[in-house]
Amino acid sequence: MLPDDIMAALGESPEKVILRALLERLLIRRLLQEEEVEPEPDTEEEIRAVLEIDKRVKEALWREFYEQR
Amino acid sequence: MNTSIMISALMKKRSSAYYVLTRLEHEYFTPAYALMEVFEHLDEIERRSELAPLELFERLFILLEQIKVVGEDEVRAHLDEAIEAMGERDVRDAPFLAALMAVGGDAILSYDEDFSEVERHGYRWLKPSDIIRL
Repeated sequence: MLPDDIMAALGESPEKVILRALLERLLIRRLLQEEEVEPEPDTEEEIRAVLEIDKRVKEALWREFYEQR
Repeated sequence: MNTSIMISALMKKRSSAYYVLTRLEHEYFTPAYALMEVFEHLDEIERRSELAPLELFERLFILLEQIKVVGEDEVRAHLDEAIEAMGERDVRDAPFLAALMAVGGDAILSYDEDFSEVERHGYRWLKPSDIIRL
């Protein structure tokens, strides 16, 4: 067990954890409010680029976590 | 949702995937390990993204707040059934269908056409543009 002051410095006290979570939510809300997002249609080229990466992601996911289930 | 949605949301400034995840009132779920695997590929995503590194980090931060994680025990509880359903197309898509089954959802959000297979099993396959039109 770490000493209390080190635990507190690491942010392990419940008060700090709750405060940090609240601050994160505030920050996210502010980021979302300030941000303007006008979506545009996905092009075939963009979808192809996404699926190329996605293929590697799902292959690694299957190999590392599910293949030997 | 599968990982293609998160990848798209991190790659394009005016991403319809990002718009759907952050502006439309739906609940989005993905397996916990899938998020970890996207993290493992962040370098590649960053290299090919229109977003500056800080913008990408901000979006990641926001997306983690919007996306709910399905626990691994719940995914595995439905994995065999999902493999049976997806096996003919691509078995590696099964964890996403298992997560959908676990939360009692009604649609898979993905760019991957292999998920059209879920429509034979009572679920819908939607792309971001489909949700925007709903």
